[in-house]
Amino acid sequence: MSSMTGKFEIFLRVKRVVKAKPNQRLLVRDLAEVITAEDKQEDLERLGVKEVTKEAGQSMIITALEIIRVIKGQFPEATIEHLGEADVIVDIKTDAKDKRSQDKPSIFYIAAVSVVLFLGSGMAIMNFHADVNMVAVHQQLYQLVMGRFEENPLLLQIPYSIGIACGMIVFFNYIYKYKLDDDPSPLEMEMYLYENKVNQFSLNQKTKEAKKGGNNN
Amino acid sequence: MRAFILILTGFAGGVVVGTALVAFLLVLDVIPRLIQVSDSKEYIKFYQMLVIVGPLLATNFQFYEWQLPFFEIINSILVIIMGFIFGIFIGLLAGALTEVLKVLPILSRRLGLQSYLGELLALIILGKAIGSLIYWLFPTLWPP
Repeated sequence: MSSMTGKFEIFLRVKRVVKAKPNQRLLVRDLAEVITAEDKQEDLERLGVKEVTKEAGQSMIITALEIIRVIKGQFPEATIEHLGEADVIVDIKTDAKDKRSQDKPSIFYIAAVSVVLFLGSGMAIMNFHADVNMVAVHQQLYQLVMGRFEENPLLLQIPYSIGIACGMIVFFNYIYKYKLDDDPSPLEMEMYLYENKVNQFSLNQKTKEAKKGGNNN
Repeated sequence: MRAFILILTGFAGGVVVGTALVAFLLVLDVIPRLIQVSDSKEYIKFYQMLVIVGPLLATNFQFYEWQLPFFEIINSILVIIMGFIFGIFIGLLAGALTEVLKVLPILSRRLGLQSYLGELLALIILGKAIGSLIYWLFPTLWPP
């Protein structure tokens, strides 16, 4: 045991979000990345921090301090350098839920969503045309170039319709699954921002709940 | 005196509409997106000038009913090209509108279709193009 008494350092980088199953025993390895002296690395990583209880519901929070307390209990001699997040969110997924999210969504479901999006976006552009009186503008433009009035300037309007699709493809940097270039598309950025917001919100909410629970105990 | 009030009103209206137009373009991120796609940051001043001159010309054309010289086939081709370019611009606007940009991330998450984002987007783009075509091909839809 003499090797355990020497001073050594532990670098601890706490993860942000961790997925877990009910009744799983969360080890240090699950919650954080750690670096320490080679002979203690294995023991440290296998150290159990907390068990996922049924009462925790869909998520629970483990603060970095809890992890540090456990490590300190086992390795009193260690100097712990804490990097990364202050709390870990544990996302608890029951098996049934896990299965559902792993299953491919049914074809009818996708078909229904597809129909709604397809028809809806079509109707939205019609709405827009009616709203801004696009007909009159097209008639005026047609007259500007061709010199005569045309009730239905299809020569202008059909390329215009194709152009709408091209413009949206340029904007989103997307043709089905093929990207035009390596720039991030605005949609990807928006998606990222939105998910970040959701995570941050739930982190905030869970921190609040965890603090409340701590006071009651 | 009346003429003076009219001039003042016209000028004020122009100022407000002009700023609104620029704000509209800026809010929708159309110009930054185009600059990003074409990688042409150094032409920003030029683009600014175009955004000013374009609406100015368009306003004059609309108010004074200007007319281009007519050479049968060239004008027909010009109309087609113009239509296509207008379409691209409206497509950029339609893409930038919040209905697509803000809704799709939420919708795909709610519906559990995050991995199908590309397909959903393709559907929306297709829907826009075909909806527009239908609108123009059936003139009874918009009473004259």
